[in-house]
Amino acid sequence: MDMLSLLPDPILFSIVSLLPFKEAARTSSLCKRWVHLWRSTTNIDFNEYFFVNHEDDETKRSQKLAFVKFINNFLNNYQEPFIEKFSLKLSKPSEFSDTVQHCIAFAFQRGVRQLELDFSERACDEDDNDDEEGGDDNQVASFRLPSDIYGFYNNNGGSRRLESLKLFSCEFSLSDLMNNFVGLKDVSFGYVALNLDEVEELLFNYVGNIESLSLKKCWNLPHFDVGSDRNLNLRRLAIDRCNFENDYIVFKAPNLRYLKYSGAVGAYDMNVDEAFEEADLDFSSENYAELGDVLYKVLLDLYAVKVLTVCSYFLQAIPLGEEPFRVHMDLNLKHLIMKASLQTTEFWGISFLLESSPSLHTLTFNLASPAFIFQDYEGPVTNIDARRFWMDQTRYFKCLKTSLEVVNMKGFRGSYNEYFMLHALVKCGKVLKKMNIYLSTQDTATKIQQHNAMLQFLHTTPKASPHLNISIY
Amino acid sequence: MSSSVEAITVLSSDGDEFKITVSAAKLSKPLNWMLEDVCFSDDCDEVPTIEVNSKTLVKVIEYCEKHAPRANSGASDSDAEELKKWDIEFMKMDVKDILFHILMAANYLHMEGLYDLACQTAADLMKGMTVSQIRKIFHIKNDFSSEEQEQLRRQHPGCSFD
Repeated sequence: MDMLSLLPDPILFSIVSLLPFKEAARTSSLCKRWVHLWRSTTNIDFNEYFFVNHEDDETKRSQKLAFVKFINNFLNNYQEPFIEKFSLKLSKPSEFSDTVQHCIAFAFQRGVRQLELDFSERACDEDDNDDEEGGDDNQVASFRLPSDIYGFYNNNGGSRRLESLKLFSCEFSLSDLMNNFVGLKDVSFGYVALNLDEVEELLFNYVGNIESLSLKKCWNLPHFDVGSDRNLNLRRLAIDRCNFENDYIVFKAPNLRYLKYSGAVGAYDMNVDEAFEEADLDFSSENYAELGDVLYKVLLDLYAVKVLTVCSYFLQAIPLGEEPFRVHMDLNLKHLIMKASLQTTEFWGISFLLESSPSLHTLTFNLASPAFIFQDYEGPVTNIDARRFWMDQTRYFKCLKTSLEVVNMKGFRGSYNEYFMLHALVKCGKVLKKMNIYLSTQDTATKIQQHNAMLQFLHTTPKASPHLNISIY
Repeated sequence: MSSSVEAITVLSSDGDEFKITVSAAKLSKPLNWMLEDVCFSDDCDEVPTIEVNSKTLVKVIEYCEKHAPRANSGASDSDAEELKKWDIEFMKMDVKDILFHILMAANYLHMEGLYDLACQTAADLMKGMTVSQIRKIFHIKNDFSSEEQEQLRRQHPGCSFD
């Protein structure tokens, strides 16, 4: 007899509820006792893309119908009084509005804590590369949240229970939400028109306390200037390609831990405090103007940052400001992640950040992402040779002598620049312990084999650190 | 309640004696009631029995003693961080042998924190595993006939069962 079988059902429900929905469903084939157990999971995630994965339109259609049928069947047989999480991902929902209404009523009646309704058209498992998506750019949300839904909620004293709300391509009335739910902490809106006054109302005058705000491809917002004279309570803020009229980002958030900004370079006045941990900055804009000074100010604004992710644009633009070589003070960075292509146009930017971060512990190159390359780039010094450049520059990086222990390079494709970056780090990283190199999986097997062979040379490079361990994946 | 009592003695289901400090016992509602009972009664010699075996009770008490200071006073972010690490270490145990006893004990003693932690540990062991791997980890016997298995496969499109 296995131990698991001795546990009473309610305990198994708790365990199943901690699994992703798809994996919970899979437990139905463990053995007979488990066949229906998973149907009591309190973590429900109806994702069209679990079901619809076929190329051909006709098959797609029947898969989608099977998905909707599955939802109705699941909901009609559900027994538990409360649920923690309910997520529905369904494109073109208008045809199935009965099912959608059913879902929303179901979730609210059971005092859902985390609700996600996503009606946008996105490819299945991506999160960021949705530039090719269809219907979302015409600025019409696919579904409107009916205004009579709130009545369902009050039965279970539930207006306090809803903590996290994510609405994508789903129109709603923000003031209705604020009036009906007093426990919201985490809100995400995407593919929908927003009104800045209402957003400010939510951030400053809401009866509860919003800790996390995420705006993804929202439209109609003029900017995100909420003033630097009053404190935001936010711990997390994400602004992702919102196409502001003006890219002003102005706020004061002493509790902020995490900031993600993706969009054009604009004007910033961001006030954070020591508690600030992590920033993810992506300025993959088509703006050719060289805005080094603006980005320099961003770094100063976010001075307390410990984990920083920057894009290729940032690396190219930052040395073109008035301070071409480093920040005038030391940054407190522990982990630096660069979405770079390691073209020579990025070299001074990489050098800039490394020189400014004397206590850096981990350095990650994420070579997989496509880079934006400045045309006619003129850095502080031109005509760069990678081998020479890094052997010269590494002398100035204090982190190489005292703190840098881990280097990751993801998506290695065997270029000269990639190799000599690693080479210099091996030769000069005095306290390096771990170098992890992940070969790009997009190459042919022969190419991958060649890259692997090339990296074997790193092992023969004289190592500055006796404890360095190089792994190739 | 007399403030002189700092620890109470309980018996495990195997009949061994264990001491739990008063503040640690507060993590469990039933234990807390027991404690009040012991303190209020004149006959302090009575030792209550807890239906948990000795091996498990040792772990449960270890958890309580570690978490008690924080539960009683609140803690800073860095304490919480440290405690999380401790929890992970604490949960490194043999599945078959003790994890499920801990789950049962946490359930029986109404210890929310330990219950959530043990459930999470069990779920983490299942995450990303195939059905046959899960069977192996938890020693579950596949009691389906091949026809039944085929039927399941048809019922759940989009899920793989291997």
